[in-house]
Amino acid sequence: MSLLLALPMLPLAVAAWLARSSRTDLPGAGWIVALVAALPVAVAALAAGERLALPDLLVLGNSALVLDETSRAALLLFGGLWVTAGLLLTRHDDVPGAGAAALLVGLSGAVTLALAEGGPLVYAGLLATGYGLYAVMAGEPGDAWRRAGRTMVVLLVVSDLLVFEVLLSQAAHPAAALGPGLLALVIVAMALRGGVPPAHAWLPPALAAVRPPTAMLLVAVPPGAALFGFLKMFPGGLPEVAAACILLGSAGAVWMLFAGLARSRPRTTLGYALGATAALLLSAASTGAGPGAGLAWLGVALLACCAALPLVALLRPGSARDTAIAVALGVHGLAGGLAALHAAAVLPRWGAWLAPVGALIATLLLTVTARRTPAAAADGTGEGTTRLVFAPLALAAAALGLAWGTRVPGFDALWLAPVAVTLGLVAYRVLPRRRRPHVPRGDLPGPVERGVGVLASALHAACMRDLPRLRDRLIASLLGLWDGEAWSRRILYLDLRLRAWPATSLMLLLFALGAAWLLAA
Amino acid sequence: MNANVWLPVMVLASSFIPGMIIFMLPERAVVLRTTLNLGGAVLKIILLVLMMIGVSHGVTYEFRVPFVPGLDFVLHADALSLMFVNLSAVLWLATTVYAIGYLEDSPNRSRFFGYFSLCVTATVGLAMAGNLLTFLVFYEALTLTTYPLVVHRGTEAARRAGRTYLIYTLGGGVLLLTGTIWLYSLTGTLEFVDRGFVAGLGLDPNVLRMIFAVLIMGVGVKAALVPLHAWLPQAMVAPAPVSALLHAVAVVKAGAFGVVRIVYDVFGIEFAASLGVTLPLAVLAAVTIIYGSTRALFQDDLKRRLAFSTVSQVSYITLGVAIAGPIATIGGLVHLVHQGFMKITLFFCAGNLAETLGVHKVSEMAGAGRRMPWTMTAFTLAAFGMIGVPPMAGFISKWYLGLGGLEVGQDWVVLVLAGSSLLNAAYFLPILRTAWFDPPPEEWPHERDFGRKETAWALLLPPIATALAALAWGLFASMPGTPLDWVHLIAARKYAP
Repeated sequence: MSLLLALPMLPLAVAAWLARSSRTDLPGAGWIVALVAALPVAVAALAAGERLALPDLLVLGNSALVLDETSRAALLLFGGLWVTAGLLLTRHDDVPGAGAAALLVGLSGAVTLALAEGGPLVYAGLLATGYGLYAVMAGEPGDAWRRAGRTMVVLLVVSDLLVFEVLLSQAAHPAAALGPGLLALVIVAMALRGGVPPAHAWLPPALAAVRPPTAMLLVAVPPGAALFGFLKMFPGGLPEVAAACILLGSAGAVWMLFAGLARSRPRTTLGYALGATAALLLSAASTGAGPGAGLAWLGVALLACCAALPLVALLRPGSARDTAIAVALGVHGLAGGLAALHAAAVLPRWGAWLAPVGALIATLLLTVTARRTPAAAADGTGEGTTRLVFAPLALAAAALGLAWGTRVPGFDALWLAPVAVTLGLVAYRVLPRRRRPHVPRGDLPGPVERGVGVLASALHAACMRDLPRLRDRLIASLLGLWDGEAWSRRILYLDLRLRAWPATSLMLLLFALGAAWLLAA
Repeated sequence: MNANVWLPVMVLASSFIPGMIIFMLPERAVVLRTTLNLGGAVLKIILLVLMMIGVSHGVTYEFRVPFVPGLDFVLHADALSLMFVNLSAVLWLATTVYAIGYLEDSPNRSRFFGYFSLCVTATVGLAMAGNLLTFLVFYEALTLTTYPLVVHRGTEAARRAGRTYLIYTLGGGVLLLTGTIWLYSLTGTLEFVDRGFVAGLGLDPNVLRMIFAVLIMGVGVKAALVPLHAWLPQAMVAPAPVSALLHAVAVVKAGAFGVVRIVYDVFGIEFAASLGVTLPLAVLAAVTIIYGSTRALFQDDLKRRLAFSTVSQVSYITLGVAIAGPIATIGGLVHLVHQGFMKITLFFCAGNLAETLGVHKVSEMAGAGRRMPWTMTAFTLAAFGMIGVPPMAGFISKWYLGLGGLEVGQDWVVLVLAGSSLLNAAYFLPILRTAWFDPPPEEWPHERDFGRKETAWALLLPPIATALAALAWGLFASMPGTPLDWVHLIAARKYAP
């Protein structure tokens, strides 16, 4: 049996084994999930490229499992996240068998999607990933997730049906290009699946209602599935609608900015940051994968950074937490800059700033999220502490490095990270205090933030006090220009000065000499 | 006469003779009854495999005896009939195993299994009918042999459901008889022919349209086309194996198969399309699909929800036939098989829940997945198949139906499929969530103890086997020997120039 075939089958087999257990909790389930998820990571990192044709699978006869650059990126993202989720679950001793089985079903779908080639197989992977993730959410304790879960599954089903319609049309008319209607369906389907605004509504409440492992998966998997599903079905992108996608994505990002800043809970803000990130990614994807699967690696970097944020809450205050936040924001900003450049390549000159604005907003919101995320309690209460946040961050950093390997960034990409992070800090500082939950002092961005606060205070004072005073003086001066008496006083003053000034004589002398010279000539 | 002539009769006899013997057996003769049941089912499958090999190589199997003046009683095995016979035979075997476990301690088992065998005999005869008269005979026989199964429990609700069933199906039979006589009086023949026997006779198109409507209404009762479907949800009072038989093997499938025969082998698809009767039929099927799914959404009783789901799903077959294109035909015909495997799995699982836990309603299913993981895994696979999730078999059906609709420019079909899938998801996914993720109750309504097993093997193996088959038909659809492969052969013959 080929290794590629084993990758999606192994999680399913283990899931079946777990599901048949009637026990309500399985202490070792987290380790099992992590172990199973480690295989795709190992294959992505170590195995040589391969293609396994499966002509008898499903319909059309063009299905295959492929390990190429895009597949490696997807495998690393999904595998890495599932390994982290599994390891996080090892901290709980009440993992239900069905919950672990759902995780593995989702992993199987994600791996299938990562390796899939051929429309129906990609479609199958998308479906299994979506339903698996819903099952993971359904395994959460309490009822807080239900409403968001229902919305999510409705969006998933509608998205599936739209993809189905597109695949059918492609199969029915293989030689014809996609018409405007079908192009719109593709974009809508992927937006619904990926949580791109306005289909983001379920994300903030869902993220706020679930535990960190599930939150981490909810952050990265839907947009990841949408991105990789799109890249696999349309590796060349959809240049016909790329500009429209970027325009809509940027509009969505602006929406996310206002909505995200208006919230106060960290996970809710993360939902909006993710909406902006997803909008950026799908905008960029509409222009195509790019050389060497550059966009795929950028997607991994961006989504892994977002996925790391729920885990920041599991770190105590200190240098580890500061480093994690700094890496997350830095990598997100840099990857966002590159993704924006990727997207902007298809835009006319007048619109080339749109994509960077979207990227800037995404990193800005992530910065605000990071500042709003409280540190773990020092006494170990609550969710406890762990440094597993560095797993997705390492993945993000590695993915960014690989993306840089295909395209070395210049200033046009690098400027975005410091500006976005700074603007995020400013935004956080100037927000009303009720939207700034208490954050312990002593962390890395603290001095920067305080400096920014001083600047903001000075700016506030200038705007409210100094500038109006200056303005009033200027207006008084201008009005004085039209004052007749004042003018006569000024002329008199000038006349007196001129006559009294010795230079006047010198000027008369020069005038006389000049006149003589002219006459002589 | 050679063996080729007698093989169709032997296929019939393989269930008829055991059925007649079983009637005479005392209740305590469990071993002999089981042996006859299973032996007959296995023998039928062996005979069918032989016939399939022959048919795929062009051999003709036909048994013909004079029946009424000018008309013969004909059993004819072609690719289409063998597909349906095979479905019935394989699912009969599964249902027999299941029924043996289900009715382990019930009274009147000899009566039940006797009628059970006769019911399958009628289905097989209907499938192999070589003309409309033979079809009609077995169509009525099917009604009469399934009625005792519907009322098997003998309760007032069962008798009421039986009366409704009888009124509807006999009414359908009368319409079919009327149409048959009317057609014979005009054409002088009732023989099924690949491109239809009505075309080219120069008959009045309006009369033909009326005959078509009468015949379709006749078979539409069993096919549960709206508004002739009301008997089906009521018949849910029957035991689970009977429900499985009604929904997946025999009755509704016989109706859908009747639609196929009338459209392809009586009128011929091109001629029917030229008469303008296929589009109204497709619209009626589409209405049934959406209506059934919508009604299913609001049912708390699990079997009633599944019954309305059947109303919807069986009309996919009619829709595929009525779209009038080779690809849609493939989708419709292959759904005959796929829906059979998926729906029988669902009914087996519903029966398991009822028998093991006393669970009859969706609202009682919380935590059922933890208590009965294998049953609920099978249910989950079948439910995903019904929704049309790849790689389940339902996806293949919907793929071909949608593709067929686009092929002939009927793009609205895709919207109907999408709407139906959405509704299917809406009424199946909450069941799965409740069963797998909600906490189980302190006490089940009526729990039976099966030791370390979740339920009896005889109840557990059939749904697992049929669910795996539904998965395999989808996953390996393009391989030789699958239902899809066989249906390609049928479509090639129906649309051959």
